Amino acid sequence: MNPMQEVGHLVGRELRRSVRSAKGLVLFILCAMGAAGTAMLISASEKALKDGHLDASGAQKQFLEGVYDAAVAGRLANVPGIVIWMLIGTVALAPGFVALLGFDAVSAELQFRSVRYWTVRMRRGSYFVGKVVSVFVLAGAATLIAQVLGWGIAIGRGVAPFGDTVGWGLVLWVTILPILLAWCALSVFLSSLVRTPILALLFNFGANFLLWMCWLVGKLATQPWIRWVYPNHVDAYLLSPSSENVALGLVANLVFAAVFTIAGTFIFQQRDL
Amino acid sequence: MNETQASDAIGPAPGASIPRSPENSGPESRDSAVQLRAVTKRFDLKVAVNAVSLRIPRGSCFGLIGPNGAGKTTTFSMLAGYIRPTEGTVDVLGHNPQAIEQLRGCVGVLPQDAILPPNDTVGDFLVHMARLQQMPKEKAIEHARAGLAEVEGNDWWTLKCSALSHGMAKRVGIAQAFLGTPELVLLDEPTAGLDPKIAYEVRQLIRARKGRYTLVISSHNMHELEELCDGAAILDLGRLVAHGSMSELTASSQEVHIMVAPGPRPIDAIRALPFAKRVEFDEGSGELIVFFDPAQADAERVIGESLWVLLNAQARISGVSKGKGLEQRVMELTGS
Repeated sequence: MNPMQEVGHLVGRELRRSVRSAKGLVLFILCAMGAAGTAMLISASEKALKDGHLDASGAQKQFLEGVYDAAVAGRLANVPGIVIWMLIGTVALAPGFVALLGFDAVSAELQFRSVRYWTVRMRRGSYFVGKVVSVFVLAGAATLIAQVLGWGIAIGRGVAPFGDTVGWGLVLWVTILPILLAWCALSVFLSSLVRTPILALLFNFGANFLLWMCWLVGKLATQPWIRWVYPNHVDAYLLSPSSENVALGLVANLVFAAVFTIAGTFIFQQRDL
Repeated sequence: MNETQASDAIGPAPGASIPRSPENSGPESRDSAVQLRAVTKRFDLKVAVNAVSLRIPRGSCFGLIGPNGAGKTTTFSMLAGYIRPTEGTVDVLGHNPQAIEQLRGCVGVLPQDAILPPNDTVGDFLVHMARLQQMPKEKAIEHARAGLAEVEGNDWWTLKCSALSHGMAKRVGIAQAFLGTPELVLLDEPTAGLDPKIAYEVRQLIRARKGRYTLVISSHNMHELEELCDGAAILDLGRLVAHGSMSELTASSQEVHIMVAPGPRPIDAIRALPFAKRVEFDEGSGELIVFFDPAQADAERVIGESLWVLLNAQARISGVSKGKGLEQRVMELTGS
């Protein structure tokens, strides 16, 4: 059995387990409530703009210029508002959401030594990579479900056209997947360092805060390089109309994910279980 | 039996360079399911296992014995690949225990304190484990169901592991350890915490598998090990203090213990028996020990003739055993 097959078996098992777990259910409900609430708010404000005959597209472009840059704003100016807000919300909440998904991925199985059932049957490297992939697939699926729910509400309330909403929604969801992957690798890496899930959760939030601080310091001190340690920093690159920028953002997040996956795999292979 | 110097009996001196398997495949390696060579494990400053060398023959049922802190769980964990030795080498079926690809499906392990994944159903868990042993889905389901049936858990297939009692979880753990056709099964405290009926059934389960696999059992339960195992290693404070066959360890082929109740005690007549090398009698406990030369007589003959003499003298017999019992032997060796 090759490592890919081992990873495949583990991912399948993790997905089945997550669907059954109380944590999975609670996170799903929170996601759905957040998405529905956001969609209702956006729908209401878009409806008010429409009713007042105000230029929603111009306001959106201005807003996007402030958040990203002129090029990204130009590209996304005509994207339905609900898609933009769901995108921004997903990226902003990704560190916390992924931390909640992944903090116990390995730590819980270390704490109760359940990991021992696996490590006599699969390579430790496959186990670790399988955990990263599982959290990534779950995070991707959960964000897609949340977004589809948000789009559905906006479409149902008549404030977003079906074709543009679903089309752009899927494109932008795919665009942010590298950011999710980076956070997943970090979350599972931190989870594998400790045997206590609550400690892993604290480490996750601590690391997220530290990386955000780095990004903030980089932004305030005009030190552009330090901002790259924060995976969310590359969202403007991934959304850019320039393929060079997209490639740069993609490479940055993939390197981030690879560093933590390789380091985590190495440490996990060496440690006592 | 090898006592105290046992660690020197097999393998080179500590620190010597030892080639890794599979190159390390001499006749001794091929006959061994497990081989430890000068294995030491340190946790920071604490030495949990100290220069232990040991060979477990293929097809045997072997016990790891010792008091708390003796190093048997650490040794077990090294055999299962959970931890690496600080020094020395461990070979399992001729391979490093962490060589998963080479050992896939060949080694089954029942860890002592590993909780079953709480959100998995029993069926899903066993099928997943079987699939990782490279079984196709249908075969995995078939083996998982058969394994569960053997531990009398037919009705647990859809139960979540978190809903199982301690005894049920232990039996599911045993079912996963025996999944497929492993060559070697490592069982850490297989009956700990089980009620006597279930513990008996688990022992029967293990006994039924004797000879089909190599079984390594780590346990505190001396009677269980004496009953099940062909051989054992006794550990104390991280060192191997003795190892050998069960009859060697218990001296069952060299001495017979007879409990004689108050009344006639014809000790001199016993001493006169031709095979008796030495006879000891403890007045307080009424224990008569007949030491004999196994080349002259086997234990059964010694028991028969000794009892004939005692009964002819109207002595009242309250118990007979071959050897001194594993528990007593362990007490002597470990000072417990």
